[in-house]
Amino acid sequence: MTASPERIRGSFRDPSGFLYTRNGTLLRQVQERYRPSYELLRSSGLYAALTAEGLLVPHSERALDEAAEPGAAFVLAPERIPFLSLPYEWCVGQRQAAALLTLRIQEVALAHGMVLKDASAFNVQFCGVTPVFIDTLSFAPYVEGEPWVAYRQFCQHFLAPLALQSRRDVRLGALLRQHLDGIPLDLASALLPRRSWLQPSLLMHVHLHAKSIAQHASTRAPERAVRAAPRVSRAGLEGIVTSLRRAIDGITWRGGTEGGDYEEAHNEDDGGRRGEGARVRSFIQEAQARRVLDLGANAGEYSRVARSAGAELVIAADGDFMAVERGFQRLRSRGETGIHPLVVDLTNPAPAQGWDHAEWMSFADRAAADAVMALALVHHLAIGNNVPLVGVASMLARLGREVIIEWVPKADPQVQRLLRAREDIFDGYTVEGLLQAFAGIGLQPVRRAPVGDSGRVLFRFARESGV
Amino acid sequence: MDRPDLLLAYLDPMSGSLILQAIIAGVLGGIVTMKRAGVSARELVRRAWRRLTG
Repeated sequence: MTASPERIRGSFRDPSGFLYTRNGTLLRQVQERYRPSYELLRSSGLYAALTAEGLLVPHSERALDEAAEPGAAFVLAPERIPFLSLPYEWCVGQRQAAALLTLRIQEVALAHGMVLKDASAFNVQFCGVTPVFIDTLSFAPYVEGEPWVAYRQFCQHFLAPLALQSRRDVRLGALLRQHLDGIPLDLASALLPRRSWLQPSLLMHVHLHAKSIAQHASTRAPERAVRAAPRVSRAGLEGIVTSLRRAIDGITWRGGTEGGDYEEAHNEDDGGRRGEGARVRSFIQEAQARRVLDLGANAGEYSRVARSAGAELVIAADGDFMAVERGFQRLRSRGETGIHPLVVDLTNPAPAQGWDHAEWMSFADRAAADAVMALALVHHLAIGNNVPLVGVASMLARLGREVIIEWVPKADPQVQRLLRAREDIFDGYTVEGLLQAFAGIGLQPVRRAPVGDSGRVLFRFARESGV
Repeated sequence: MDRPDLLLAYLDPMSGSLILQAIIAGVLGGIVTMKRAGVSARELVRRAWRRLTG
């Protein structure tokens, strides 16, 4: 072994095993205590069934001398997921897809004599728009009569946020950023509209569930509670999974707060951008960017351009739920790969989260790419959010070694709209100011191209050596 | 501990959740079993009614 193992700091909760890296390779140590379950995962055919369907991330088994610590029964090398997103960065469709994946896995597991002991949304990641389960150690042998121990977790991580987002307000998905183990069911129950009591699935799995938890919370000895755990027949367990699947399947989000004029507003925004695609494509090609971060991606129109320019992965981030949802649904229906839609408010991106600030990395640490695209975005940050251009430039440069910008001048109707009801305090908002800001962090405009006669300009900023 | 397998849950499943789950499972499991046996809810009611009315 040439390098000492580096444990992934967020991987500590489950005593069955943990993740670490060695020489840049991601490895998972399976502890001796989990050996029977892991062996059953293999011998029951469950692992083969799940990976064949693309539901579970595949791994290869490695020699035991690659273990990080004593106590290892197996060492696995899971296939790496190119970009890790967090449940509070998902649109409704992504959450729904992740929920259905989790339930499908539970069904396949049951058919092989196992169950999911963990139904956390953090166990699901996306490859493009396809969800995949990443925790190989979440399976336990099924014992006839046992209740599903991850039932509450599933309701908190998936059903409650989906119900709140679709039936109350899509912005309530942000509650997941505070509640890392899912939205507490009493909170969900209190926030859901009264008429949701009439929907049998929400009545059972959220409202009565919350009441039952509150009612039995005072049970003193946990052992007594476990011993008293009532029997759940196999048919009952299957009935619960089916009922949850129907509830999740039946969720539709009609766009709520954004309303129907959204598409028009954005078409207008795109008015001067015809023919710009070819330029963006050549800039991405010149940058030889394999991983691109498209900020303010809207529904991912230019993410597709970047992808066609050779990028293997494009993270299409936008702060607008509706835009991200549209992008996600479009990519799904077209079967396009390599583009990961994401809901990100750039004025307040996800920080490092969880225990000791180390369970989940910040958006910037996860999303860093070869090239960052910020097309018709800077004015939203500089004028919409009062960020000085120097701040915008350093944020963008932190996220990628090259930055592609569509500069929207102050005279543009889009900027004028932002300034309509406020004083223009943005003397520094000029092309010169932009160039100065980037020069200050060592980036030069190696390419520039006007966008038609709109006054807008496309820039490709790079370090001088990268020309 | 007479149900050691439940300890596989390293997160607290919460007793209230388990109890509610058992109740729901009873109802939904009954429906699943009925459907598998090809008996509809209406048929069940009819049978019960016949039994009551003799």
